[in-house]
Amino acid sequence: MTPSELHFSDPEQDLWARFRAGDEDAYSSLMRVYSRLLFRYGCRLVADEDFVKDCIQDIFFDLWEHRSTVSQPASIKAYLFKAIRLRIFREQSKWIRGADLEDNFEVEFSIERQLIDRQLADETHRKLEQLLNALPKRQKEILYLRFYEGLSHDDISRIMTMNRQSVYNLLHESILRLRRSWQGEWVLSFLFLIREIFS
Amino acid sequence: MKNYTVYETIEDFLADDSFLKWARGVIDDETLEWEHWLATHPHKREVVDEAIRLLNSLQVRPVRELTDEEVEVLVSAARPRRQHRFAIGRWAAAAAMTLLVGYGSYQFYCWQSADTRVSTYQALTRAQSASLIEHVNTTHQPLLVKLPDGSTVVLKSEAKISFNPSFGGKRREVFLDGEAIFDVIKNPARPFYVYSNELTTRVLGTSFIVKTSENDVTVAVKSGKVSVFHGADNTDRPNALVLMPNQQAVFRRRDANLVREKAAEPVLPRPEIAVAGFEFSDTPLDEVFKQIQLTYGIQIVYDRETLSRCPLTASLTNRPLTETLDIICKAIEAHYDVLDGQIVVHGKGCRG
Repeated sequence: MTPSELHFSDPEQDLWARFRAGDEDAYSSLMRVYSRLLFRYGCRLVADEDFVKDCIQDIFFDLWEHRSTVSQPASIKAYLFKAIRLRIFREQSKWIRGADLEDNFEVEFSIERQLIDRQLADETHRKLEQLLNALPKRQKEILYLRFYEGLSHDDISRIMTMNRQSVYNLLHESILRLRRSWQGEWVLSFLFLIREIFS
Repeated sequence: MKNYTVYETIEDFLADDSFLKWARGVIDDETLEWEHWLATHPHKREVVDEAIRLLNSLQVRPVRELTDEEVEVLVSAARPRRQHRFAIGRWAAAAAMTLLVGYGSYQFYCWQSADTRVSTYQALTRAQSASLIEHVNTTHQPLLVKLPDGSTVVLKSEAKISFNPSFGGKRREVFLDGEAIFDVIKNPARPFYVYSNELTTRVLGTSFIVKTSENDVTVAVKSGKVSVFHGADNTDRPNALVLMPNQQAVFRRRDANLVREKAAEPVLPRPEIAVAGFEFSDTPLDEVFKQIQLTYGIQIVYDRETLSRCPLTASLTNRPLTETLDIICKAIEAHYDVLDGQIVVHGKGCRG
């Protein structure tokens, strides 16, 4: 069965199938849908916007060239994220020798305080954010992909070429760390409240 | 239904994809299960609430988003070019770039005197405050010039190139008159600019050919990509064209018109070699050097008796010329010099 004969209920899967069958409009639409996402992610891997744009173009150009052999991935988003990640590291390695390119992910987390507790002291708030931002970069990247981009453990393990268990463990560990300081703060703010009420 | 009762901690819940979906407010069969489950397990309400709060409070400071215009530039640059699919080989995949600035299809009669054209290169180089180094190839052989950053230029006969010897600053800049093959060391932090008459070519690093002359200037890209624009200022390049493989930009000097079109022909001097790439597996060195000579048109001088049989296994596709030579020399325990515009390889030969 050729890709064009397949019909996908998911519109993005359908778009992908049409692109594989040589539909230029579907190809352009895919680019419109995913360029922003890839740019957003890519700019966290390397702080050079033009370079990231170049990499996005390269990926889509290669995709078109090899459309007859590319697969129908379960998650198009994860497929493209992996592609941009690989492309950026490969291109970078041509001009930065021996640098640990894998461990390069810039993201600044913040805690939306309205959603936690108005009583949360500035100090606590700051500590929580510090904790998040002091996580190792790979851990931050996993957190970002999981909670910001909404990707599954399988997708993340494919994107970052790690085994699924390591992804799971790292995520678990970072949430646990966060929760510990978080829940400590719960107790504190509770005590604070009690003191306010009874004083 | 999955057994969610084993979930104890916030981490357990946040590790579940359908939970995340539900926490984000997606309503489908999967997330409805959660509604149902929570109704029947009220004692889990507290930990679930806390997981949702943790998830929602975790914010990411956003980076700049691509604008609609930027997306359209990307889309239009990557538009398929069906007619030339055949010509794109491994070099394209490796994002190398070949660029030719050459004669247009029409030779206009003398609407512009030769003197005016020459003065363009001269005007550009004279306007520089620093004193420039100039290389002119007065011979009939290609001349290899090494640039201060390690990039190389092979100047064709009668071509000339000028650059600031310090090669400092945020841009690597050269001025070209005539035809040359560039092999630019990749460095996105310091883009490489070729100023050829009124046309500027910007690359981050890769391999391409530039040829200037006559009444129009054509920039044709073999593989990879390049931006070209009219004038020297690129601060906000409103008229820059981004060229992808087998596209070309034609700049008509008469009315300063810059348009993008399909490239007529593959543009490398020996396209069959470029497309094949430099992939060697137990290849005798003389064969390797022959391919490099054919591709770059540059002479490699070496002792055939000791070196020609040395087998080489290496993947050298899409590397700058100097890097290619470094790798080869390392493999065969040799070294090379650039003497008189030629590459001279010295080595003791290989045993076994």
